[in-house]
Amino acid sequence: MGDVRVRASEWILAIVTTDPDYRATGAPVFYARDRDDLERIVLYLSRVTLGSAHEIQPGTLVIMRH
Amino acid sequence: MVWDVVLGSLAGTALRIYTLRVDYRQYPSYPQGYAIHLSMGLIASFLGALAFPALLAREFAAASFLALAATQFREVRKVEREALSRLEETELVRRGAAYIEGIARVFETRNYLAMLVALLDTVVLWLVRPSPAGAVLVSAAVVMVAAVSIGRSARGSTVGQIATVRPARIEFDGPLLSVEGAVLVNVGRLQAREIYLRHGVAAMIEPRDRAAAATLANPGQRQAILHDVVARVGVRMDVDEPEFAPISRRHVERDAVIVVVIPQAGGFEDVARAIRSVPVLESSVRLAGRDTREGGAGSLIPRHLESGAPPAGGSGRG
Repeated sequence: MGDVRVRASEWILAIVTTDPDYRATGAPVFYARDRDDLERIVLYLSRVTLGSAHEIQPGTLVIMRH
Repeated sequence: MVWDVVLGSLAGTALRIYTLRVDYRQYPSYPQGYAIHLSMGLIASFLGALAFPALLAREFAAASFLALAATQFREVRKVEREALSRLEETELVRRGAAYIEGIARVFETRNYLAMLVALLDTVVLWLVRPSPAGAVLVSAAVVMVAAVSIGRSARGSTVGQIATVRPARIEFDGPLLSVEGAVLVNVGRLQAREIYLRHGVAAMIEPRDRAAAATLANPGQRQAILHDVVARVGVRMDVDEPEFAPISRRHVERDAVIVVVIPQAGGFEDVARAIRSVPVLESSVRLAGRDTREGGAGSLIPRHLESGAPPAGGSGRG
């Protein structure tokens, strides 16, 4: 209701990926070694940011606040 | 006359106590809450009981105090609304504005009911003019009749009356959590998907007619369902795990609503029972009007729009 977040970067808190060539602007990108590493980073990040993780392509997750 | 007012006030207060007891929403459940509502109820009843004797004594100014009372009780609604809205921050699953508005309105209404019963009682006492002992009995009868009719009519309907609830299966298509072909949410973590598959409960809420479907599609109504379900069965999540928050999405093709929750305790039957007993909110209710009933199939579209013919005067709304 009183939410003024209008840009994607205000919703997307972080991007975590196993793809070393993945490039993004507006949100910090975390590069994971493999799927296990990805899961671990995503878990840690989503807990501290109170965000939830969504997969946008295999091996790339975004952490968003809703 | 003085005793009429006293009895009328007591009658109104008795009804307020009765309506306080009827409430199932674990609120108010503390003595403080009871004290607030009972004293407001007492004031309401006193004002109601005063009105008729004041009229008889040609004290019109005194009777107009009822108008003042109405302002007071709107304040009750405001206080309830503000209190519950502020508590939203502390809820794992929010009630939602629609539900809060409904609850606040109920509290306001109950004061009016207390006032009305007090008024009614003084009128009845004046008409019957019973002995002192008889007056007490008459008042008790008035309260009982009022309580019974409120119990019958003012309760409103529940989701169980406008829809059926049946179990459904949670499936994953990649990260997409779906139920019977409808995508609900994107779950990123593999572990989280596992938890959904192992502990998640999906319920398909199928409305009985088109009007019920429109009611259930209302986001405020669905938020109320989620809140009540979590209040009954709990949810396996904490504030830092929004990915496990209960979800409701429409199955647009079937015009149904899907609810997925990870209960802390209990299974589908407990979730279904909770869903069925959720009140239908006044702000979300859509009733089948005259047009929709005559139009067969329970259509929500006025007939002149369905057939493409121009309206034959009037809005065509039922």
